[in-house]
Amino acid sequence: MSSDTSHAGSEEKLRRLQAVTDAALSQLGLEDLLDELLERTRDLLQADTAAILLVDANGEELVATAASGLEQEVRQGVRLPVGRGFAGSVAARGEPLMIEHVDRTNVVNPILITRGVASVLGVPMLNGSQVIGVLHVGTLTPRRFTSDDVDLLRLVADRASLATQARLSRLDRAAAVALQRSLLPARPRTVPGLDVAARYVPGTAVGVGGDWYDLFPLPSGHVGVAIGDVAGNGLRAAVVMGRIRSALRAYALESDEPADVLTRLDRKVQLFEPGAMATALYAVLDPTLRSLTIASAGHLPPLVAEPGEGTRLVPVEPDLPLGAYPGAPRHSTRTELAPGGCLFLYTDGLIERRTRPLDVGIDLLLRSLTCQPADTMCSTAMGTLLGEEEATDDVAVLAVRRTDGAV
Amino acid sequence: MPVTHYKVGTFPQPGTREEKDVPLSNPHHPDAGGVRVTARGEIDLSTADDLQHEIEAAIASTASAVTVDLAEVTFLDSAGINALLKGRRLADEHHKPYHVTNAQGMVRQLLRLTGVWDHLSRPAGG
Repeated sequence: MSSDTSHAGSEEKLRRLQAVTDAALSQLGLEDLLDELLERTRDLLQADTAAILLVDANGEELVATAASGLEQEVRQGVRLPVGRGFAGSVAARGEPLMIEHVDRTNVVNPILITRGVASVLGVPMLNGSQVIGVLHVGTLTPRRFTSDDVDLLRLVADRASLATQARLSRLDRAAAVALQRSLLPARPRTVPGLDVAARYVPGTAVGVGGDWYDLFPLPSGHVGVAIGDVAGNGLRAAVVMGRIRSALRAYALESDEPADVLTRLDRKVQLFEPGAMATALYAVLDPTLRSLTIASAGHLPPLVAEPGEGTRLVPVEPDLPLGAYPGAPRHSTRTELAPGGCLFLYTDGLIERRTRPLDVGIDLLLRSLTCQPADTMCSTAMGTLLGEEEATDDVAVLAVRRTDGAV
Repeated sequence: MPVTHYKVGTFPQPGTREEKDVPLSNPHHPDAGGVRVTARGEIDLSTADDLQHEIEAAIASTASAVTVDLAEVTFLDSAGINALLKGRRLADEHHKPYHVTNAQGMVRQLLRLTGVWDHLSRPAGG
């Protein structure tokens, strides 16, 4: 059997290549694709078993994910330590490994022993230089695998790695997008006397990130308006954002003082989200909608535009971002909002560019925005600052206009 | 492609663009007693982890103080700010003086606008 494989002619090699690179495989879901790949691999290498183990999230264990001729490995949810045993060594070293005579001294997976596997060959599954899993084949009769066998198995591992990576990042992205959508309604809830609009755009470079906006009436008659940006991107940032956003709402119920709300929120982030960092701006409109109290945790300053007046930057001195430092002092700034006046909040993705200073971006925003219906303000800001170019970072903006007409 | 280089040493070496082939300066220089982490280029989501590791290593070393030099940093985003802020926390936990210095242009502007510049540039700690 080994002479068969080692002396495979070029036609045979081509057949094998086609068997594992077959475009039709792409039509399959990940589980079916891996199963089919393992079936074909067993067939091509005349092996009795084939299995794929993936490195878990913290990189310490291999988890049996797909198997052929060794199905109990997956059914029993086998987990093997990276660095020990046969598969563990392949993962730790990132190199192929062959064991001609399997016994309890060189494998830790009891299933290989009980199944009566005599010889095994394993190769790493790689994403760049990172090992994401191990693919191995085994035979029930002793066998010395050839370098052709190693080459073929590497090819299969590449195919399986690509499919796995694509699937995982797709899942991650889909979950992050779903979470973001569920938390950021395209149109925030209506509050009497206010016209509100918002936009969220994921970054082209980073995908969905941790930006959020929020607006809610409080039982005291005040209205809370928030915007923030959790550092990082993807599912992790979106999940942390969801928790910070809902914690802010909870503290908003307890206090109408923005600095107080951000102090409590910061304490919560420090304790329960170690390592997380976020900027946030929280503003409270009093029940008359005339007075605005604002606190900033490292967030860029908001804009106020009033009919007949220019657009101005509200001079909110930012305190430290959430999660930056325990017990950071916080303060609030008060400003007026005239009848018909507009408030505009944004995240750094709107103005931060590698090619231009922040103040130039802020200035551009100041000059382009006037007090308009909220939706128009959002469109204008996005059109002016993002224009033709795609946002590399994610962007959130929130516009609020007083429509109560009270003078 | 934006490239960010870091090196750890007592003195910055302006004009040195390589990372790997520059031998690390003695981090325990008798004159300074401190260690200087010099960051270069663009510090963003893709490079902030590297900077953070350098800062952590410097704080964990036997050096008596840590300075992060941003003179040659041309761009910084929230991930970069995050790394600098974590350095401050870690240094305080180790009772080690830590400060960030030489931020230029838009980098300095960002650190000011996000309210972290005073917190980072004050040579407090220890």
